[in-house]
Amino acid sequence: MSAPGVAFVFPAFASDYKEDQPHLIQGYTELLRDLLRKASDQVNAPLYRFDPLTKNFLDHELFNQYISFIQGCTCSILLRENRLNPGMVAGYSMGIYASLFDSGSITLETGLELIRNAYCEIETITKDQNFSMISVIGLCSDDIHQLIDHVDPDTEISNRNGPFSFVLSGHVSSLEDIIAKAKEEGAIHTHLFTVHQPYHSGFLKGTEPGFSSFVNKVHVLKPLTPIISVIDQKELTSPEQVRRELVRNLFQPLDWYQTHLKLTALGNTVFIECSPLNTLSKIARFLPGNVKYYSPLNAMNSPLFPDF
Amino acid sequence: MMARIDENIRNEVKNVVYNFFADECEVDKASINDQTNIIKDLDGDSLMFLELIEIFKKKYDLDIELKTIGKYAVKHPVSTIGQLIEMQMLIIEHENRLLDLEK
Repeated sequence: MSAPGVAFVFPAFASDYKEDQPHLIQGYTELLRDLLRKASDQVNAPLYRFDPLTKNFLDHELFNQYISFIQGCTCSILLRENRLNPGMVAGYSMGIYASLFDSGSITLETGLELIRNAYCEIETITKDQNFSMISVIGLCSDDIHQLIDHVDPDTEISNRNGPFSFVLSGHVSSLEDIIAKAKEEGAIHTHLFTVHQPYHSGFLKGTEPGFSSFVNKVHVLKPLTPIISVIDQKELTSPEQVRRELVRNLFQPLDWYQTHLKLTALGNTVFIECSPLNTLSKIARFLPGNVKYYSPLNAMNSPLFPDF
Repeated sequence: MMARIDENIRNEVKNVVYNFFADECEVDKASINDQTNIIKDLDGDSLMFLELIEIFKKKYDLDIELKTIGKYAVKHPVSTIGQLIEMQMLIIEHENRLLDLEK
C-alpha cells in the first residue's frame, strides 16, 4: 500500500560523496555492497571498490552514474521493505533510472545497461569537444538569456531549479565566461560542475537514433507507482512513454521547479530523497509550498511513519 | 523608506543567523561566534547565504533583488558570521538602495 502525500525523489549523480545518513539504515551497507558486486560483474567495472571516503570514482563520470543509480535502488528497496511505498516518484536528471527502478518499470540490470549505453552514445557524439555544465543562482531567466546571448548563443539552459536558479550546458570556455559575467551581474552562487558532458541540451540530440534503438530493445514495464516527467511534468503511464522519456532525457531541458510544483499540487507534502546526498533537499529550501524533505534515515525515524 | 536599525533588530538578526547556522551545520550554537568562518569552520556555502536572505526578506518584508545583494557581495565578500550579520543589517536598512552605499 502506498503512502498518500509521500513522494520518492532521486537525485542526479554525485558531485561529492558523503558518508551520510542512509548508511545508518539497517542493512544499507550490506545491500549496497551486494548490489555493487553484482553490478561490477554485469558492466565489467570495479564498482565493488567504491569508497565514499576516498571518493575514488568521483571523477569517473560513468562509474559515478552507476554508483548513484545503485545507491538510489538500495534506498528504494530498503524503504519499501520497511513498508514505506510512495504515492508518486520523480527522478532528477540521471536520477531517472533509479526512479524507474523504484516504480517497477525497469530492473536493476536494465538500468545499468541503459546508463552504459546512454553514456556510450553521448561520448560518441561529443568526442574531442570540451563540454560541461554550470549552476547560476541569484539571476532571473531574462538575465540568464541575456548572458547566453552575449557570450555564446549555443549555450543552453538545461534545467531550472527555481525562479532564480538555473543549470546551463555548453562548451567549457563559454560557461567560464558566463560565470564571470554572471558574477558581475550579481549572481550569488555560481559553480562549474565536474561533468564533461552537456546533459539535457541540444548538443546531445545526436544520441537519439542510437539510444532510441537500444531503448526499444530493452524490457520496460508500465510503472506501478505514478512517475512524473521532469521534462513536461506529465505522468508516465505506459512503457512507450517511459521509453520516450529515457531517450529525450538526454537532450531536452528539464524543469525541476515545475516538477516540484506539480508534485505538491498533486498533494505530495513529504519528499524522501533516496540517496546519501541531500542535493534535492537543498534545492527545495528555495521552493514554495509547505513540504518537508527527509533523508531515508530521517523518514524511518519520523513519527509520520509509525509503521517503521 | 529606510528602516531604522535599533538594538532589538540587531539582536534579532544575530539570533536568527546563529540559530540558522547551528541548525544547518548541526553544531552547538555556543560554539559559534562573530569570528567563526562560515566555510572553513562550519562547512557552510553560498546557498545558505541565499537561504538566509530569503528568511530576512520574508521576516522584514524587504524589497530587494537578489542580484543587488550579489553585486554588493562581490565587492564586500563575507567570510565570518559577524560580517554576514553586518551585511544583513545593511540589507534590512537599505534594501534595493544597497548599492547606493557605493556612491
